[in-house]
Amino acid sequence: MNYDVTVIGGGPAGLAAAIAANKENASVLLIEREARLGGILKQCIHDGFGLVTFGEKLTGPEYCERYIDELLQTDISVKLLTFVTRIEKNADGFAIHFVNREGAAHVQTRAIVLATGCRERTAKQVFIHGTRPSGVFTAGTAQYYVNLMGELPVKRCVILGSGDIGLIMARRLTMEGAEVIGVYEAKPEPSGLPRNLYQCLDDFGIPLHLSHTVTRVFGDERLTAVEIAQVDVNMRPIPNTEKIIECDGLILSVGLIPENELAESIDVAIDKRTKGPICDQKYMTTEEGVFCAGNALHVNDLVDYVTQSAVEAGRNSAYLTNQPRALVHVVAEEGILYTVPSVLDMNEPINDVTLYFRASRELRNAMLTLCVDGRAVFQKKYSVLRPPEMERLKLNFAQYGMTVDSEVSLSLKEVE
Amino acid sequence: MKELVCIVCPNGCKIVIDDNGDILNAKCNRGIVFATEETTCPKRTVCSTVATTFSDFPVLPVRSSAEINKIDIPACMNALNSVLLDRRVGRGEIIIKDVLGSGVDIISTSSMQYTYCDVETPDDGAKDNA
Repeated sequence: MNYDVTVIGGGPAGLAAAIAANKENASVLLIEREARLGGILKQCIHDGFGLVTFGEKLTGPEYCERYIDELLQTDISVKLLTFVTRIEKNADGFAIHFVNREGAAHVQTRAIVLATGCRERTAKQVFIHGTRPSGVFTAGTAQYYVNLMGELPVKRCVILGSGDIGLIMARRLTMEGAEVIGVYEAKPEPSGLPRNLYQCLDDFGIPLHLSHTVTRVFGDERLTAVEIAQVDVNMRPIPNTEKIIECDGLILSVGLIPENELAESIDVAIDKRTKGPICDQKYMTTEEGVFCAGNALHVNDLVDYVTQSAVEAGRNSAYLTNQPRALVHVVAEEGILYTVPSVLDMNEPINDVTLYFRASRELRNAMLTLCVDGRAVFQKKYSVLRPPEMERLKLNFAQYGMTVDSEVSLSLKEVE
Repeated sequence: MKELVCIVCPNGCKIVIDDNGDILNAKCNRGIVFATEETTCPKRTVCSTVATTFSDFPVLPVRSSAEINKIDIPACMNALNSVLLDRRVGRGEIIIKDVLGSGVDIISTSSMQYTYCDVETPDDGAKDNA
């Protein structure tokens, strides 16, 4: 079977990409490894999704089901409980190999949209020492137990990391009757959004301890206690500040990493800062015909931005040209953690580019400067910028007199 | 002086209410309404789940159709915990009408119809090793 576009992943990015490609009359296959579409939004039962897209505060299931409703009205082919094992490049595009209940098979596709989302960092990745008892969960796993299975995985727990999912789980576990002793964050600043600190912790009197981390876990079969210590500016534990806290649960909310094993297997270049593929303004990766969108590209803080990137990626995947690309890098300089896209294809329109960026640290009265060949061509002032909050700019690069040899950079400096 | 964070939208404005009761730093009118309510009668949308009798869908996500008084959240959770749903509902269906006499309903936020058996899975792949 042949398709114009194969979308891998049936979460918010995959749904929007598949619908967008279908609207351009491409034949589309959507592959999802779980039994239901919707991705992580199935378990994000809290509200706050879709304010940008729909002007309403929706819950995760409501947001994704609007797209599922739309998708089911189209002739998009959907394969559920299907896992992509291998992608092979060939003369006509790609052969996508997969396994499902029918066995192992493959389809041929001209373009691919990678919408594989992201994964949570685990206890091993944050170097927590001690025994290996049950009771140590990532926030997403705890959320799966509570919101999809209806099981309460902990009675009395500590949360490590102040990411948004951790904050939301602090509230959720408290509402379901568990005791959340506190949220511990190794960094001197919280990493979640201020409104989540307010409505998830303050509302329930849950304390937030900055510059603290979990250094050890105790327990044989089940977690019985954790050791907490204060950390210095280099996030190293300070001796003699250790404290033992008895608990049966440790919830980790210590960051998300784009999932790009498939991308790497077909030589897609990965941006070290976003940990997602390097993409141009059409959301095409360094591999011709391979697009990427949503949290697989970079971890977004709003699902609305996931959808927007996926709509672009999906639409562009329907129009593959074989013309060579002329890529110009957008260099992230002082104050900028990263930009998406990080390259611009000068052989494609550059007059309407949505540029996402994050500040590398908290900045007040910061001046954003876009430089082309040493000239400041665009400036914007921000009163406050924080790394957890992604910013978005609409830019018309065509008016800056760029050539294929131009040097483009973005920087942030604090001004008076 | 009192500081609060607006939860109306992702901007998360840090609103200050000074000693004269003046509301500062809100970027929009909804923030001013939020800050006024927050100091008189704080309200929240409750999002939770109710148990079902279906093994493929053990809990159904629900929310309050509008905000309820923050002080009523524990009582609302008790009401939700006493529900055992034995029919497959659609998204937006009322699960508890007029919860705690608040005038607000508890509604389903997910369609229980969306299980894999309802989505076509065409077996159109070329078989490997067949």
